[in-house]
Amino acid sequence: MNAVFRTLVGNDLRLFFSDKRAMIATIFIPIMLASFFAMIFGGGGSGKKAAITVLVADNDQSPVSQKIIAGLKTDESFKVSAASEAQAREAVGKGKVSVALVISKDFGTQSASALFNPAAPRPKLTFLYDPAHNADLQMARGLMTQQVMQVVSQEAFGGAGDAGGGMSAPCEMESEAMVAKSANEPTDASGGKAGATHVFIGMGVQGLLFFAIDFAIGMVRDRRLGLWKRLRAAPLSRLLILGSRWISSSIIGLVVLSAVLTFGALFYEIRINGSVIGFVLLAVASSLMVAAFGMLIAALGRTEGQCRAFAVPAVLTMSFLGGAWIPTFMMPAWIQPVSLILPTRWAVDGFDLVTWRGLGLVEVLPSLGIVLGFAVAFAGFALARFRWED
Amino acid sequence: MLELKNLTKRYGERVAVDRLSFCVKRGERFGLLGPNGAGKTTAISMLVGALKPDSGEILFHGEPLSGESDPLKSKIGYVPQELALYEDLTAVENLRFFGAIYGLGGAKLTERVDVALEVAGLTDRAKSRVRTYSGGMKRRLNLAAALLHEPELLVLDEPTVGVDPQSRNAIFEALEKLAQSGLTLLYTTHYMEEVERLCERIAIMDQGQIVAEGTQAELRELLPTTQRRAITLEADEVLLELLRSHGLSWQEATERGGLESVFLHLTGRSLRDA
Repeated sequence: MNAVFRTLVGNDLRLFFSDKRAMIATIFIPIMLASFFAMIFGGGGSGKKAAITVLVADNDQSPVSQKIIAGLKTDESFKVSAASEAQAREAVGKGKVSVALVISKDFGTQSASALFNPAAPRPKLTFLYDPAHNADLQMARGLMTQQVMQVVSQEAFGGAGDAGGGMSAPCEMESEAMVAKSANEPTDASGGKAGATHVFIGMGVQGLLFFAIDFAIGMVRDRRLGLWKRLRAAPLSRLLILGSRWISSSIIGLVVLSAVLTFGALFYEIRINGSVIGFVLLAVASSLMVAAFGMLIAALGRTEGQCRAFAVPAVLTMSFLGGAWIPTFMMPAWIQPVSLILPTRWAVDGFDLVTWRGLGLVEVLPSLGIVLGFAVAFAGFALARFRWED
Repeated sequence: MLELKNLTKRYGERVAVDRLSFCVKRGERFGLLGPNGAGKTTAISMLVGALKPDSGEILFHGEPLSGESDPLKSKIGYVPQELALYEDLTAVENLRFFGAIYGLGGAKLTERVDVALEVAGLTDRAKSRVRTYSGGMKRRLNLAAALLHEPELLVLDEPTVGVDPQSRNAIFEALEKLAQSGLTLLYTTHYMEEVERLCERIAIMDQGQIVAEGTQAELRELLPTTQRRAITLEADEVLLELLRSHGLSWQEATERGGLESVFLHLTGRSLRDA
């Protein structure tokens, strides 16, 4: 490697490591955020999820409806409370509870006949739900289906208390997180280690993006201070100057990402269950992409304030839509194809593939290629557009 | 040694530098004098390769300066108007970096860093971070960083902005010594007294163009002359009153040095590094 190039890269690294407070903040803030989110969502801490409050408005008041409600109460995932239909509508409408169930009048009598006669009138079971809590609705519907099938079939075939005489539900409902290779990773129904792994990956990528903002602001500050002018007065090409800055920032980005994921490995047992080579290549590609993104911001912003103004919303959008906060499969359907235009989506998905999903190098190649493509495109644009003078 | 031919730079409709031409001879101390916004910094930025001219040519030793990595650029030292230093690094670290980007290394780099620190009067504070320096110390380090690669031509863009008189004096003494050792200086400023003290030949620039060029004496010739007669008279108040009553008038003035001279007289010439 060219000696001057090494000098330029070395100087950038020295500058980063000489400002201890900034360095600690750059590395530890993503770790703190990841730890916090992992405790909440990723199976850390006690691992026990808070019960979902469900209001039940029983307009039937029949033995069948009461048995269904009693069955619901046995599940620890729910905290079931009785309410009138009006109270239930108001509570859900105001966002006080996420799901309410309205059992229609004559539910008990109509449901038994509807079980065997498709032409018979079907009683209504209405779920009132807060659109912000779709997942709660799905859980409540699942449990309710099971309860209704059990209770109604018991009523139809043998009457109350005859545990062995009724139809049972067509299948027993349970959840299992699907991973290609679980190795020694017990993954519980709520995500377990997979959740913690995703959180650390997401916060690591977001940490890189926030570092890119600092990096961009630093480039613009160097312009204001005349440092670029001084470098340009030396016999150095712009490719050499910007290329060295790209590489040094990518190295720092890799340090940040490695620190976050190492912390996750030590304290949250996250593991690379798939291709280690794929993981390393993706980490390098992501660092290159994010550093190039920082250069792109510096190329677009004339001042440090402008860079901050562009970069903060861009980083938050890229983090959220890229799945750094929550996995993209949990987002509304229309977001999922849209988010494919973001490099962060490919980076986060790629890391998911080689960590908790346990897939190999071949499966991660598309993510790797696209993240590298973004890196080259960002860097090319920055090189063409970077302003060397105020 | 250096020749600028019809150098032009436009920013949209505004012409910052308009067909600028001048020459600097080897060993000369050349001043580019002009008010703020005259186009001095733009011209200097083009000269050192930090900015691309729209048209025109820059010749150094008869060779056109072209391309970002032109080796001829190694013969030019540049002191930017801004304090182009890394504040989180020490003076030594800054100087080693700026020397290394010109290809210096090993013992030669160490030797040149020591020389530069001595020129700047910063040997005692060499290992302090630049952020702890006073404005004057930073200015002197800014100058030292341009000397590491032993340039033949030193281009200084308003290098004394915001410094105390002691540091300004130290910078001037250093430049005078460098000039005596054969270094060619191209000095831009809007302070007349700096040009008067340092430069043999001066170009006055305004609105992107050279409006006058020559030695200090030649430039003074451009001013209209005013005849004045000095009469030495030892007279008491009675005689003065008598002369006044006969229509003789005069102006009373006491000649002393400039304010900067007074300041230096009272506070001394030694540097006041914090």
